Amino acid sequence: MAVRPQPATKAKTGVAGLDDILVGGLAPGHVYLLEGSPGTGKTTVALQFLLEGAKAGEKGLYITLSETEQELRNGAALHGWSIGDAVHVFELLPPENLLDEKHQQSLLYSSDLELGETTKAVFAAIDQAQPVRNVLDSLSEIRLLAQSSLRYRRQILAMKHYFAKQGATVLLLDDLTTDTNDKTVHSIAHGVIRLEGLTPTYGAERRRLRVIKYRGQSFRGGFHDFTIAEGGVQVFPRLVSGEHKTTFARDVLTSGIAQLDALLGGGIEQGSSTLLIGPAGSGKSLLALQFAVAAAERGEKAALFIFDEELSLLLDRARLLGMDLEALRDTGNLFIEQVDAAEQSPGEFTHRVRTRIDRDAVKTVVIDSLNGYRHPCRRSSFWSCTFMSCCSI
Amino acid sequence: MPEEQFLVLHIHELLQYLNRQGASTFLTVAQHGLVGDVKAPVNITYLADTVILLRYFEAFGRVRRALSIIKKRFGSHENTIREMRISSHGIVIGEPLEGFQGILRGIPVFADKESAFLLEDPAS
Repeated sequence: MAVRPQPATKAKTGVAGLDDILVGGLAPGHVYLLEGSPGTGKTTVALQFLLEGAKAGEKGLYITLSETEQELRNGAALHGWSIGDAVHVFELLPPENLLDEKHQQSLLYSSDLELGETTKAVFAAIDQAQPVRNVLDSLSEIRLLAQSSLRYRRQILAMKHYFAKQGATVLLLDDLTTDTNDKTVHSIAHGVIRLEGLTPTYGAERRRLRVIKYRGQSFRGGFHDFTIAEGGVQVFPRLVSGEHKTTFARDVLTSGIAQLDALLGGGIEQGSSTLLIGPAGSGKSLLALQFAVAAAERGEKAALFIFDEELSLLLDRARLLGMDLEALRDTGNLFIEQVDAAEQSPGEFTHRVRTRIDRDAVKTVVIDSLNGYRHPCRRSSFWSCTFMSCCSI
Repeated sequence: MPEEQFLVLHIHELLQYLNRQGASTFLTVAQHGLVGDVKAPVNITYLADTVILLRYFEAFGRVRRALSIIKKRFGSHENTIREMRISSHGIVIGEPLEGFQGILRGIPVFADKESAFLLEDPAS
């Protein structure tokens, strides 16, 4: 087998947030494990990985042991992708001859035969397609066929050696249906990514992923929230504030109300945080709005993240007090976003805030209120699901 | 780790990020209770650079709002209490309520009767 030229840089996964977590992507020519229970988004990530490769002209092969080619193509179409000829799909469903009476009466266990046949067929498909990116979906079939952990490990090792010779970047998918605690492939793979999903009693699913291992490479540790929507998987890398140091002049921002500024000793320093506390209805939101409106009127960009109040109500209420939020929104200086805490993970919310900062150069941020932000979190303590923490699965 | 701790860590990271980007952040927290003994559901006052406290108080048969700065990391600030009114012209902040005691407790005592004019509603 000829040694294939390898891309020098990391292979982008096709999921921007995941590439950020992996500091660029997957080191090419290695075997990776992508594990997660059914429905956590493995197939979607795998397809994005192959399609990203196809964009760069890299040949992709998807070996499926459970789903049919048609199911895969339909799934991709739902995300608005066309697999087309860019990705070769190889179906390896149980051969019909295994249902033959002859085999069933044979002294050999059919699984012995089938494991060898399956591996052989996988290798044959790779030999034929010579992919640069390869996906094997899923390992649980092979684990079942292997029956014992010894045979399974040997089989995976054999595959790994084959893959290493062949030179493709391989993504092995494991749906964890047969054994959730099996770490066989963890020790063999170059990197392991785990996808998790949990369903709260109320609200949308919470999804998060973690890079468990990435040999010899740095990566962003810990859990990162992600979503699956039309268009694929979107990952929200955990925010590390230490990476975002900038220098700026600490100007004093005024509220536009002389007495309030006097109380504040002139105003509020740029780049500082202000907490407004008080009982319900005491005017916290209005005061916060006042600062945002003053900023927008000065020509700066401001963003409101509203958790509690219905947007139209807020707009009406502000208008009665002489604040025309809609007019300011139309000038492009004020962004007003309603946040549904039941539908969004903390990672996704942080991503929204970051987008406003990075893309729209927002310099004043109002979060109203932290109670709304916190609410689903409290419920979670006995519902074992959380908005804030996603701490226990 | 209790959820409260996660919230505080998460908010801390977000605030620090925003502050390092030069963005000024305003957060609101509604406290439990209306007048008198008021408690915050989550203690993040130590995270914020500035804390603005709002309270209801009762005077002359009306519920009023008081405003005070209880913390400011940068520079000086007034340590007075001022009345905040919400009118059709927006937020109106009054002069310092000097000569009263117990406004933040909700029921002021007029230590100095001469100061009562500070609470007069300019509209009435």
